[in-house]
Amino acid sequence: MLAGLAKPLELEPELLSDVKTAVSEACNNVVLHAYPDRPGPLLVTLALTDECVEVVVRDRGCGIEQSAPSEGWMSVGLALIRTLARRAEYLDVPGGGTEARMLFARRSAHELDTEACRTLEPRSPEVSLSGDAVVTLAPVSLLAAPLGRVARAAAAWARFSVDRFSDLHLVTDAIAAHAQTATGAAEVSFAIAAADRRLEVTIGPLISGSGARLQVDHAAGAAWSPLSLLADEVIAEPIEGAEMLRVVLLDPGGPSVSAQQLLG
Amino acid sequence: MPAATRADTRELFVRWQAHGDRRAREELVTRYLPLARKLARRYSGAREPFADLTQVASLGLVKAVDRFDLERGTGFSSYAVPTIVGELKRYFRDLGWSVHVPRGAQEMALKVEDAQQQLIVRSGHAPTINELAEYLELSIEDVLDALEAAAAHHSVSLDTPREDREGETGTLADVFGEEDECYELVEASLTIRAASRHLSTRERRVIELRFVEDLTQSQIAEEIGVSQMQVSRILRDALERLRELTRPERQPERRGACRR
Repeated sequence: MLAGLAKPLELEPELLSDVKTAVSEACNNVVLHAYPDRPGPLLVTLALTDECVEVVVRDRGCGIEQSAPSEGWMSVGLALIRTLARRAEYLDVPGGGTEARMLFARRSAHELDTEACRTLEPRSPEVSLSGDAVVTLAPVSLLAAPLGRVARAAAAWARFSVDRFSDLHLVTDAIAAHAQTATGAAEVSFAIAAADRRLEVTIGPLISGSGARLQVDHAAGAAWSPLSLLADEVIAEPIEGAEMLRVVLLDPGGPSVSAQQLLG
Repeated sequence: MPAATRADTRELFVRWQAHGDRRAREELVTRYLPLARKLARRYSGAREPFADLTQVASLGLVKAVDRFDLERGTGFSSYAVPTIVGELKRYFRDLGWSVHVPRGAQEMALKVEDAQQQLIVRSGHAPTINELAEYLELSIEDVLDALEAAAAHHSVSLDTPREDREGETGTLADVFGEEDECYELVEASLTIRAASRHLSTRERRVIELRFVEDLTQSQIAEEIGVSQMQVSRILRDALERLRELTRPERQPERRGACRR
């Protein structure tokens, strides 16, 4: 997910590598330890300023074992995160779950006032989203790359064929382009839910009524929107004072190339 | 770790650091080698030689064993990790590489493309990412990386000659209309006419096949004689260019001139 951020963020390669390694450690921890007996979401929040990158990785799982960490993942992973981040905290979240909070310094690292960065930390999403992965980003202009990456990784898991996988690429591009013009807030969240050959992307909060612009009349064939033509469902769902956009993609699978085409 | 072993570790440090017992040092390094290997693996990805990195990480471990201060009261692991990571990073810096450089990603992309063709012929349907990973004996992450590399958008100069199936020539600048031209583009949708005005013949054809005739990308690839990956790229480039024309900030001056 983070690899796609290098260009828009103009992150130094070394910093990006640190951020990637630390964040994937935190995500691995969630995947391996947070949900021993039931599936659950991975929640990532990323906020960027000129001085720092802050990433929070949360789960709603069983909580961190505060007892002496074993020599297994926990100690290595945590130590690695602590080494790479300017500041790192691992906390139990009230009500269940764990939160890894990581702060990375950009450029003039020496003068970084970590306390000042701290005030920039993103709020937890006001809109509660559900899905296998929930990502909140600020500023919104960061959206396209992480949305695409996370969605494609989920599509691989959902056993999408390369055809639908590539369609999804077009769809997330279109969603990101739409959200760019339809967001009224400083941050945007998206949730990805994957099941067998089904992928659902929910994004918001977006300006009320913005989804209506996507409802294009295709009947005449005069106009088309890649989003509504490639996705199986595009639904704008009103929430308080805003709306969420939900997009569903299915992959029916099965033969997609006719025998005739193969022989021809 | 049982308390007995921890005490043992402490004992080993005393033997090495206070009495210069090299066997104790060796024992410590051996004991923590798995930690060094774990860290090396984190930095090795699919392409950096793992063996080299293990060596570098082991060197970092030896340094940590030599410099660890028992009186600090922290565990050895929490001291060793930063030391080993520092060693790994210095190694990458000295080589002039940035860490995790996706070397060979383009090469990998070609292999994935190739595998895709073979699997389609074999099974008659477009493969899943999983099937590609199995066929190539790669991890799903590696296949995803390769597909990202393949899809990477290369910014195209306006003077790039366009290749065109019908043998049309010209540059991209020719395709874009006059400045005062009235773009018939609805905000989130694109009219077929607008598309036809701003796209090459091949791009138009691909878009028609996908959006009007509803062929899959693999079917389109067969139809026009390119790979599915190229179809994917053509579609993304074309859509992105059209979207560029519909950007709100580009519209005000046009709206005035545009009568509908």
